[in-house]
Amino acid sequence: MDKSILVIVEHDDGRLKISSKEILSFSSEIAVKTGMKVFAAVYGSAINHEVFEEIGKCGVGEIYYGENHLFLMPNVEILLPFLAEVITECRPQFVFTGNTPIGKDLLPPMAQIFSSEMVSDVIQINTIHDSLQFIKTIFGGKIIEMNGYKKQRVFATIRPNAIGIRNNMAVIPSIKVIKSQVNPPINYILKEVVKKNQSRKPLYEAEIIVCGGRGIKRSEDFFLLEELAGVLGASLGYTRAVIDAGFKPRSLQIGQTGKTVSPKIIITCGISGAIQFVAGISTAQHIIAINKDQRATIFKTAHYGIIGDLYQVVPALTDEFKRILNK
Amino acid sequence: MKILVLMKEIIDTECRIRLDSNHNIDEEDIKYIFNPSDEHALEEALRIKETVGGEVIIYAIARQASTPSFKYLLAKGADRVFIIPSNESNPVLMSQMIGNAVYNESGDFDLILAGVMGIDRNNGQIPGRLSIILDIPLVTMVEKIDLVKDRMICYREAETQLEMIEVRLPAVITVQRGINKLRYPTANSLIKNNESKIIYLSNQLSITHEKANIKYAYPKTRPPVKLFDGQEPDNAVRELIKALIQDKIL
Ligand SMILES: Cc1cc2nc3c(=O)[nH]c(=O)nc-3n(C[C@H](O)[C@H](O)[C@H](O)COP(=O)(O)OP(=O)(O)OC[C@H]3O[C@@H](n4cnc5c(N)ncnc54)[C@H](O)[C@@H]3O)c2cc1C
Repeated sequence: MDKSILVIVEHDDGRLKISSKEILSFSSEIAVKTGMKVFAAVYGSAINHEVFEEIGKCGVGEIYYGENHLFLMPNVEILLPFLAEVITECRPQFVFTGNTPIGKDLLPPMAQIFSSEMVSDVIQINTIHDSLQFIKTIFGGKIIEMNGYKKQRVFATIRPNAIGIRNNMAVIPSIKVIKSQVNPPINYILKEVVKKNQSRKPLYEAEIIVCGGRGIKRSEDFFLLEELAGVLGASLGYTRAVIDAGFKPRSLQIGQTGKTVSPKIIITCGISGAIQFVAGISTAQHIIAINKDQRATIFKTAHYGIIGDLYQVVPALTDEFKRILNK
Repeated sequence: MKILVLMKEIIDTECRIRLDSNHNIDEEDIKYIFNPSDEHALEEALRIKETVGGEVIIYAIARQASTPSFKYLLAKGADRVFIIPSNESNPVLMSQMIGNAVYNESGDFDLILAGVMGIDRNNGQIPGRLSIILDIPLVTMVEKIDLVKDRMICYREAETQLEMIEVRLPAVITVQRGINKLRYPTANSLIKNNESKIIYLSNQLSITHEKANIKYAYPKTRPPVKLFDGQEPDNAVRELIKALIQDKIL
């Protein structure tokens, strides 16, 4: 095993995903400090060359590229053999990917293949001497856990939008194509994509989120939040109370048993701030709360708050943002 | 059909959680609950058993003191509980313990169900690791399942879409809360003496494994909130946006 980092990269429509940019640029920064090497693993079929260039711009030049038409519909069964081959070849001590739907699926079996440790949903990485310490939150954000490692191999999924993108010197990518044998899946077969969600960014990578709670009384009132989100280019999320009432699909629930989000700005409307909800937004950079009850616990978490009726405040906010954003 | 359900007891996050003088989690005055999505895994197993027959067997790594809460799960209709007594929280070791136990006690299982993730430490590693240890496929984030002969049709939430997956059994499937509504045990089944159905296994592990050096701390306290009075909404909103611009957020 070498002192090096392998980043498993995600891309979409010929562009590198933000979470991959964060992890690549961060790894390349650590590499400079600690003398480690960084590799990237990319998979896909006839992927846009821009993806490789963007990896180079993050400061990572050595790319392993798995090319196969089956990688267009990736799943664990298809990807594990390719990634295991890359790891066996570049022998990294650390393997990183985003705490994204595919990352969360992929890394536990991957770590198990190498009988290795894994840290899930990391929000910060510190360098200590020439090794790394991984920080995460546990028990609904009430406790911080710091995981230090010396020599053993470690896999980690890193929360999108938590560590930020760094500016590094661009390097020219050199691509090594891995032509591993990929068998069509026999155990796990995608039969059908049942329903595509709307065009908004998935919550975990959204930079701005408008989030609604039980303060919204009726199904037809949610347009208030949709208008605000429209003006801000925000994604929409909800508390469990809203989901359980059947107003919105479960995939949009934020919180301890829903999605963990880390946007730059989140606006909570009619949300009390229960610990299970707050657990899902603890790494949001700026929390703005609208609640008519000045004692609501959300004001203990929020950075800004308006005490007032959301039915009046939200439309006023929409109008004001429209005005200053010239929309 | 022989269905195994993985159930974890976790610290209830509503408790006050403190660190002791050694900076470890202070377990005194702590309340435990079953991990919520695991309870939905059990519910789904019971429903499958009611349709096609078979057995529902719970596997748990748990404290010795937890017997009463497992009796509650038996009262719901589970047939047996295997407890591996341990307070281990390392996923590598936990998966190996469960893997060994399953191999020894229920090698002929058809399906393993579990919740998507333990909401205590947010690891979500055991099902994926177990799929490698037992060499069976893994389907995660499932919202609906239908059994079709030796295969399971799973509707799962992917990045921005709902997928329909056909998976060959045996498999590990992780489920989320939306998949079903929990039942309550009847009063009669609650008073039944079913302790003999709770079986403690040994947790001997033959692997050596180097764990992380773990330290705990409290999170930083947050700065106080900047509040605006929304009696006059237009005014409050303008003040808020002014503050956001001043603080360089906009
Ligand atoms: C094991 C477990 C897991 C859970 N997981 C989650 C989770 O992942 N996500 C989650 O969200 N919850 C979760 N919960 C539920 C959580 O405890 C709360 O019940 C839930 O978050 C409350 O949602 P809410 O804030 O929308 O509703 P409420 O708590 O009812 O709050 C509504 C708020 O709206 C305000 N309000 C009402 N009308 C107006 C108005 N006109 N204008 C302005 N403000 C108004 C009220 O003052 C109140 O503060 C979980 C609970 C448990 C036990």
